[in-house]
Amino acid sequence: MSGDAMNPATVAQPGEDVHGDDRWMSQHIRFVQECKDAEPDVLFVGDSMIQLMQQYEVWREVFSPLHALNFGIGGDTTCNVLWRLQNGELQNIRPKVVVLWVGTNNYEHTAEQVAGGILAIAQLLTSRLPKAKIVVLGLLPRGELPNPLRQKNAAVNDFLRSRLPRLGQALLLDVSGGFVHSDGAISQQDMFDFLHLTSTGYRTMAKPLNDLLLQILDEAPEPRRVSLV
Amino acid sequence: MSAEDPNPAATPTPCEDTQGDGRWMSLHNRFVSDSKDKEPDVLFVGDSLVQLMHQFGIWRQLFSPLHALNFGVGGDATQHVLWRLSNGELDNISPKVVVLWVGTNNHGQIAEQICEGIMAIVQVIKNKLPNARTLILGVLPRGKSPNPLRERNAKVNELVQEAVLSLPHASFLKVDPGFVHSNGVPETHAESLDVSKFTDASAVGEPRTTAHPVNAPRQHTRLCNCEGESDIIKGKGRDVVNKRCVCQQFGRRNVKYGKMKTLCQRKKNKNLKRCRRFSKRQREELKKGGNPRKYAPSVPI
Repeated sequence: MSGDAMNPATVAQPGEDVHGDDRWMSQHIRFVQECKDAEPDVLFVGDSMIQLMQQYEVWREVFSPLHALNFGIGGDTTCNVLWRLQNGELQNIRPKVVVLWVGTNNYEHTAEQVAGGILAIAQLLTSRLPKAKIVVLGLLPRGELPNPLRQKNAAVNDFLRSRLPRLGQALLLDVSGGFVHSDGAISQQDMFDFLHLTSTGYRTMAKPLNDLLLQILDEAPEPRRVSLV
Repeated sequence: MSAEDPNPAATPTPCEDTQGDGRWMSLHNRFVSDSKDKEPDVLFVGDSLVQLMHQFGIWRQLFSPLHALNFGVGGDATQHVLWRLSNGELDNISPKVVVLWVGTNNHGQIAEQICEGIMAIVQVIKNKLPNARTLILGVLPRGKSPNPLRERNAKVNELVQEAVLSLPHASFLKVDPGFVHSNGVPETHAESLDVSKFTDASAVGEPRTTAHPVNAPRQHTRLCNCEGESDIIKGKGRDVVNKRCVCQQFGRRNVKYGKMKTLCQRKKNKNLKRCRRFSKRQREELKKGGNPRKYAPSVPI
């Protein structure tokens, strides 16, 4: 059972400046600034899996044309993402879709707690952006060979698969197919450090995501906008 | 009387598998096995800055042709690289040059310790590969604004540069082309969002194409009706002109009517002269027919 008060993965927490250069907060502030000017149709939010997407060609070719914003920060847990979204990163923007990809860094939490954290974020998004669709990306397997984290991430996906549809506007997209080969190994061609995706890896998962986004964006009616001078 | 504590930065230490998926050791084993198969002329070794280089086009363009191998592991500090090189990654290969880029992850250690760690690595390379030259790349500045880590990294570079003077087989290369602006903030490309200097991931970004950095434009609340670039993109069965305002990352598209208006145009801010996004000097230049793209906005502080 996940009573929210008891699930540490649902407790909003800013990133700690462990090293002394305050980069986490700098990035958060920058995202808040971007909210003031930009009008994204798609908002990507999450951890390094989201953040790195922007560094590859696939971003410019596939997602930028959809008017996407990237609010990923490497190392983020569900707690960090929750805090960021509650503290300015949703101000003034009205995306039609939010793509959420977080959870693999929640090392201290169980699979059920992580799923609870992701659900909490989805709930927050639904309440702040009632017309937006939430696409939650399933956690990818990690590590060169089968290991406990792979099982944990798969369990998180299972929990999400059953609980996410209850939110109505949210759905789970599992893009992990094809990464684990028949011998149980993950290729360095897909994940250069057996966690983060290469350009090839991103292209593999971008295809189903892009198809889904186009589908959603086609369906959504253009909102009327009042122009303010 | 206290015995001198060994320098942790110069003590070979494998990385602990705190997360539980054994990735560090997987990568190390890969590299050891690469050493058995491959014959690189250049070996790149270090932390995520080296590792990520491999993921971008620049590797294929510049370094692959040199027969280079990449032994970078994200998060590695000097002691981890030291351990890796002492435990098989240098066996069976004889590169002519080893490029070493490490030091920014040595948290909790002072510049002197980090320098010692780097020099220890240089010594191991000398022992295992007596004919190779080692090229040490300077540690880059980090963080949005001046902070203790920037000072530490700069000090490391000073010390290393000094230390290699007496070594014929090693040299130091400063690779910071001026990432930090005169106002202390690293430049960001608001348009392309390709390189965000706030993350070490992008510190080895694509080659930059902007002109010499200008003073950061002041923050503004109004947007101007500036001329953006126009692309023709293939729409669904019709060509659509995509007008991108340089103030914005992207313009709004009205695909149904094929008409494009930038966000600025829709907000009806017509008076370029009054736009406070550009400084007075810049506005004058723009009036004379300057290129607004030269003044891509940096993030206001």
